[in-house]
Amino acid sequence: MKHTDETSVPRKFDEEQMYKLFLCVRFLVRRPIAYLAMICVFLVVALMISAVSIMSGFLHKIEVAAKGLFGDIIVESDSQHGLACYDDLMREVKAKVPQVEAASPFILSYGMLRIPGQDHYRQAVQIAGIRLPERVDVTDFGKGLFFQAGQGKPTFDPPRKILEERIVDDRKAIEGVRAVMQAELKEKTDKLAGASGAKAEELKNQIASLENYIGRINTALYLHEQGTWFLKSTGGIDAEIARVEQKLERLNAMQSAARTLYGMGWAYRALAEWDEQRDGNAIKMMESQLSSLYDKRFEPPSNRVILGLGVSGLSFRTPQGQTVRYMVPGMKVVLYVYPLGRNVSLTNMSANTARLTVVDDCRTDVYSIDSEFVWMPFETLQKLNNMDAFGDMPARCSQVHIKVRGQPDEAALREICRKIDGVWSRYRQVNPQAANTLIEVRTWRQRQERVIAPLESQRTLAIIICGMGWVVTFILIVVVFYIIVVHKTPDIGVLKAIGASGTGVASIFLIYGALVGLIGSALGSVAGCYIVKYINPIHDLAGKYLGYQIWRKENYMFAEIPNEVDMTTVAVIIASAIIAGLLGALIPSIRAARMQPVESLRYE
Amino acid sequence: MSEPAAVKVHGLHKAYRMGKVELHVLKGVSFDVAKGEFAAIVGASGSGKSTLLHLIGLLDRPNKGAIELAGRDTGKMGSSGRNAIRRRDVGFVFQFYHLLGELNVLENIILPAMVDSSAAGWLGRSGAAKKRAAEIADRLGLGERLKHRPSELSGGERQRVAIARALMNRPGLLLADEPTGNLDSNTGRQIIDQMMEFNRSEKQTIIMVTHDQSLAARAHSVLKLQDGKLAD
Repeated sequence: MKHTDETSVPRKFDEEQMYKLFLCVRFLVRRPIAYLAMICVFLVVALMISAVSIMSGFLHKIEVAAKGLFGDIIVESDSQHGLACYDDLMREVKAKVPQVEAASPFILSYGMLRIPGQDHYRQAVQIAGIRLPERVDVTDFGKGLFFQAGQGKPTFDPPRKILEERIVDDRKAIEGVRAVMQAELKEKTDKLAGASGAKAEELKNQIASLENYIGRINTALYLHEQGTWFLKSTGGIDAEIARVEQKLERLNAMQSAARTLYGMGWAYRALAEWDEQRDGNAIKMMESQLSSLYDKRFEPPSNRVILGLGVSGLSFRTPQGQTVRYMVPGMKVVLYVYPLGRNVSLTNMSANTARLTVVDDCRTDVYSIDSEFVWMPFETLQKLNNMDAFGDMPARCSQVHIKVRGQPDEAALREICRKIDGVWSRYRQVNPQAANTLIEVRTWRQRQERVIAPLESQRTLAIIICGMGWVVTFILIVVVFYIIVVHKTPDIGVLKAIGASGTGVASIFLIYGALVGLIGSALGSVAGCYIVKYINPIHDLAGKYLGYQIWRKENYMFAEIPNEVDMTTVAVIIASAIIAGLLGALIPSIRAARMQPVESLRYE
Repeated sequence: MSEPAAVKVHGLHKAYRMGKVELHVLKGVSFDVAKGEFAAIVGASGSGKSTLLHLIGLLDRPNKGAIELAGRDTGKMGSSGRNAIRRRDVGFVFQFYHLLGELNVLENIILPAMVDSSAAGWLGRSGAAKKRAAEIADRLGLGERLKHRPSELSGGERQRVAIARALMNRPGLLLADEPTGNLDSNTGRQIIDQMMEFNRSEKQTIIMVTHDQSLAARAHSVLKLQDGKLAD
């Protein structure tokens, strides 16, 4: 009998790895029952990555938009009249809180937007007063601008040449979409000739929809032309306005004087130059001419406005996802501001008005912001809102937005909030003019809690639902591996008979379980990532063939469904799948390890 | 000093508990098997033949008594030492073949060599192991069946694969538990012929459990178990 010296020395457990790996692979390839567990892992992982990524994508967009709108920290006053001494506050905070990088005042008001010449069109809006370009140091505001995209420092007075070029580009894109629609229209019209019944009805509806879109696009293209013409207008209009205004002023003065004389019993003719018939008509004509000139004038930088892209009636989106703008730079709007500052009383309910030239539009990707906000120069809105300095009353704003250096987390931001509060408290104690200015300092997340919290809850709910899928998968893995171990009982006896240890046999099933988790989750991750990456085309295809679209591009301000995968989430999901596979295989593995070889061999 | 017996069994007792009843299967069995000997264990069903074979092969532990393999007392060995002996010095052939259905013939034969190798070691050893496996398979008439799965083989072929697997690591001791019990007599004879051929050529000690007296008669020695003891 061959008994070598080696046999008397027990080999270490870690020296006998080869057969475990070999058997795992063979079991994996040739035991279809394990595919069941693998498919389950695959589906849950793909579902989880898709659901969590898309939900997180929405949440991220909202968070980015909220930060983009408000900066990292928001300082507000507890007074209804607004926050006074805001320049002092910004100076103190920047000087004494080193983490503060930039600060900018902000006014929020409410009003009515009207497009001149379209009396039927009025839209309630929220009006934001901001300082440009200072604001882009605090928020991401500049990133959402369309006509000043890539300009770095957007202003309310951008070079007109750039605006003209962007209008031309935009126009070309819209014309491209129109060409596609026209081709589609022709195709459907041809088909209609040979169609009947329900098919013909469906085609008619589609044709009507296409014609409607093409008609709206034609209107938009006409307005693009008009905007370009206004942009090209020079100081000639201003000179003309000045001339007519001067003449009108003179005529009005004469009319006023003539009427005064008439009231005193003198005849009109007493004022030799005045002819009621002739000059009265001239006044009316000049007023009309002036109105027309005002519409064409490119207003000074203080009277400019940036519109929220989603404000109803100012633009629309085609089924192809192309945004078509009715309002382009150069066009005019009138804003009625209902002041929130001083002089607010029940007897004084009149609105302050301003005629404003559009210079850009802004998109934050959040419908509630883009559909309601218009942005205008801070100082102009301050006046319109009766928040400017008056007598001994200081100028006020609604909020001060603060940008913090780096990317601090929520806890760090709250700490900075406390510091800002402390700095301002000390300042108030030694500066009587600021003594009554109490502030409330909040992080952007605290400020947007009502918007973000429901979305976070929805994401948590999605994770919980997917987690339930994990529980089912885990149970399935346990069942599958228990069945496998039971079926493999005689084989376990054979393996032990040829010298495999109990732990060695157990590790075969543990590795087997981990491989099921790894392969299932790897395939699921690839599928999940592809689903997320191509969610928009998938959605379009589903809409085309199923006739129903969950996500209608015409109605939402998100250009696309969020399609970015968070690789940390993927790593966590893969790790949890492997752990689920290991845990699922653990109990059957322990059973296999404890099995006596003699009992295993006798098992039938 | 004379060479120790390949197998030395002394005063072996083994009892099983079946519910509330304790079955005393072996009641003080003692015998020696010399190196290179072909011994047959015969006896009626339930006489303890397989139990004795499992105890010799270290698949089970006796309640009392000692088993020495090549002069070493296995009773004092821990499980890793016993695993090592099973891996290198003992080969098993079972009545129901117990081949792994997911592996083909070559993989089944090669498995004991793999159990005895680390992953790194296998890289250097796999070529020789495959050659050895192919040689044994060829000698057993399985040369054309290496890629076949057990389900594609006849009963006799499966048992030959089981023998090849048992011989893979050149064990000093081959334990066969009713190797022909599931085969027709002609095939059974062929199997025994091949086992005897290996016994002659590789000087392996073989202990075979059988209830077939004609097969037992071909062994060098016959141990008859009766009521848990060796009959005279």
